[in-house]
Amino acid sequence: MESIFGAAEYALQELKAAGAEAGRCQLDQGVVNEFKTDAGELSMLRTARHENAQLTALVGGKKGSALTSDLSRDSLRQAAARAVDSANAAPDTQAELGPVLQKTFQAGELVCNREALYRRTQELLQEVKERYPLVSLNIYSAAHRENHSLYADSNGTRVCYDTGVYTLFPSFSASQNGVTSSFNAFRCKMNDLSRPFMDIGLARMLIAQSEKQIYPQTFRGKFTGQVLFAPFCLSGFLNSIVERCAGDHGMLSKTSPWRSKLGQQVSDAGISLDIVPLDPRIAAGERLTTDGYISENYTLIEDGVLKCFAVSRQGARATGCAPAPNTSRSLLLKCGKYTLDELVQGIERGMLVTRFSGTGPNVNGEFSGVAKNGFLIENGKITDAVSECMISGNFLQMLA
Amino acid sequence: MTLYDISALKDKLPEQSVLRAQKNTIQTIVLAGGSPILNEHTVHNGVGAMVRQGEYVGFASAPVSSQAEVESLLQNAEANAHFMQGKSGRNGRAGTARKTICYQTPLEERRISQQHLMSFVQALDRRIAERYPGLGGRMISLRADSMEKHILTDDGTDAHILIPRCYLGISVSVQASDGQMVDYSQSIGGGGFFDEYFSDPALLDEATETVVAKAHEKAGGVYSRAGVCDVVLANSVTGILAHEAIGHTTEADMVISGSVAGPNLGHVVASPLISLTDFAFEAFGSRVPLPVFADDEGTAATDAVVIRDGVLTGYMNDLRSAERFHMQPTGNARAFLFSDEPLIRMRNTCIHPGTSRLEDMIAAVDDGYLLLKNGSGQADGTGEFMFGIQFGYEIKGGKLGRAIRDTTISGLAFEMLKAVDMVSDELDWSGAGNCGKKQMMPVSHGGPAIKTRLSIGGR
Repeated sequence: MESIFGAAEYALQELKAAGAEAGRCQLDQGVVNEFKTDAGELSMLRTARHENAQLTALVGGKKGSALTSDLSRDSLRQAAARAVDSANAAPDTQAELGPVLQKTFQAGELVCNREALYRRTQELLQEVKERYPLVSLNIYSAAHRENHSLYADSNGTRVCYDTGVYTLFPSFSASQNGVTSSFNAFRCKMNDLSRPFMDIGLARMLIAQSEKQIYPQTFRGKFTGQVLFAPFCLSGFLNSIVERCAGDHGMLSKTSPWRSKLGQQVSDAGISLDIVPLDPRIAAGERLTTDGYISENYTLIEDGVLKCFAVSRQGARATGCAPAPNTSRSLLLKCGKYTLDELVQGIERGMLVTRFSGTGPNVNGEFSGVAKNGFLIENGKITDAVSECMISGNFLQMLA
Repeated sequence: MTLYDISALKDKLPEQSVLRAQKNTIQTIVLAGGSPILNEHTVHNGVGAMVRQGEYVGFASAPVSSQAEVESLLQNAEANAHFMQGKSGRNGRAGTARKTICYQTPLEERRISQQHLMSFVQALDRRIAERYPGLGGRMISLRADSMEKHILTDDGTDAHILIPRCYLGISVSVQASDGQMVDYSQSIGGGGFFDEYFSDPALLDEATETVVAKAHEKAGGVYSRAGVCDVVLANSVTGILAHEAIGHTTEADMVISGSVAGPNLGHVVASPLISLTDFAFEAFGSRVPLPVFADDEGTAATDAVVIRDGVLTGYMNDLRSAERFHMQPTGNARAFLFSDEPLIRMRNTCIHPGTSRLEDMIAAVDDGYLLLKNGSGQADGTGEFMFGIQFGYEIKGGKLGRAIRDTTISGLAFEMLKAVDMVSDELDWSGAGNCGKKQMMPVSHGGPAIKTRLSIGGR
């Protein structure tokens, strides 16, 4: 097995030999240990050793990439040729290498504590069985991913990033007398196993809610009311809006409604949205952008005002705007001044939406779909679980 | 880079084991407004080993370069299964009987350079930009992927499989009179290699013209009225209904987790006009878009008949679930990459065609919608489903009215199927989709037009 350091030197050499004027590569090597359940019982242990190399060739201002899943010399040589082939065919986007950097980063527990991971997973299964007997919990994945990453370019940049993160992906539903609640699921990423899985994020609340969702009321009629999006649900909306209104997608295709609104109000003054891969609450967040620059946290929207765009350097060159200080989507919507109870109390008629199954928001902000695992809010109180309830609206208008 | 040759280990596999060498090749190009957002050529190549001990499974995978490394993977997989068994102390059930298969794909991988693909996409993009200067935006995407596998099992399966696909997406945006950007997209291609579908960008002029015309028609369209109404789902839409609304609830692992299909086995769940099958490699006398001859547990793939004449007759199974439900394994255990463990997945899921004509179905709707083009969708174990609708028309008094803008439809699968009163005689397949259930997976779906009643979003 080739080390990532030896492989990087060889890859850069092969990029040059294949015709690249400059080149960079991102190499990863590591192992995943993963447990999963079958019919609610832990049944599988998977150990997957991985190697990946992404080689990027620059020919003039043209850029092309190739990925390969092993670091053998044969694979790297072929990947270098494919990257140069892609670059030769690409339009000139004035692509260039980033600054020369020599850095090392580390995050999380690098080595998997397999016994502890097994115990935490069993503990979750056991607690659900005992405290939520109607809930059927399925673990798609309880895993540890050890990864050693090296970013290198032909100018001499060498940035290492060693990470070890634990991840959890359970799905669950509750059933009684042959009647089943809607499925729910969440994913989370942790630096260590210091906390029981049940105490991570909203895990306990979501699992407990399942039992209340076995006999939902079928919603009839329609009304315009207020919607309270739970964080898991809201993040999907925000990610979509960031990409379509402030990211490469919307800016390059010229469909972003925010493309001429830099420095202007795009949402209510109560909204401040940061993109913060370095925040300690983000497990193994981005340290180097996809363009080869050191990642920094930044504010996208401050008190409702669009402060910058979330575009890559290539997107910035094509659109004339400043590149974003990181290329992650580690979004952090700043907390407001109300508690959840106060928010609920302020709603005369509306819905608590914990999951959304639908389309959008599109570039105009329009969305429609089914409010899953939702509850009605009536006269300031959360009342019945509801099913078959479609919601639609304009998320951009809702932000405003 | 070729698939690693595991043949030498054919007679050396431990009991209840599967060895799989797999190579996925993915070439992707995306141009937005002429600028490349993505220009990548990816290869995932390696070996995965799976060993079962009682009711426990050990899996190990790696990119490999020697037989010793493959043998080490088998040992790791055994050790992992042993770890699990040691933790519980249970011995578990024995394996189930299944059919094995020896199969050699007649296809050979065709290497098409990224440069060739990019040149084609750029030429197409330039033609669109020149012919339609007033567009609000345009995006061209091309994905050519192939999945090659060699699967060996200790009980005799020896299957070498190659499944290529190639799809080109054309998406355009136009500004409507209310200032909103309205888009329309079309995917062209199918199972097979790039050069089976594409040669000259000029040959796509007609398809592009249709995409632009539909975008303008949609821009002049209206929002659907939210509520429950009669709809005719075109045959291009019914396929995703088969996948999302019914298919997922009848995957046996979803049944075990409590899906609505569990208590309904043997019961009437649909109109007698409805039959639904997850086809393995042939349907109605023709090859399906994504033929699967053996699954990744080495089971010979057979059709999974899910609904026959309105009655729920079976599930899609892997070995473990088949054993649990006392059903025949159908070969639905599929893994996306060499490093992935097989999960129960759909293959070519299809509602069978009926006898009605589409014109008669439209004429039978007094106030409703003809829904012609779907977006993505999702399903729930309760049978509650939703998926996006990109394009359609109002139906008033049995005649088509104005175009409608993006909307969403939803319903309860079995209720919606019971409300079907007409099924068309024309079948349409799509194999462009990827299903995302933990791992991505190429899937195809098909169906005729159906007339039913469901919820539609809107204003």
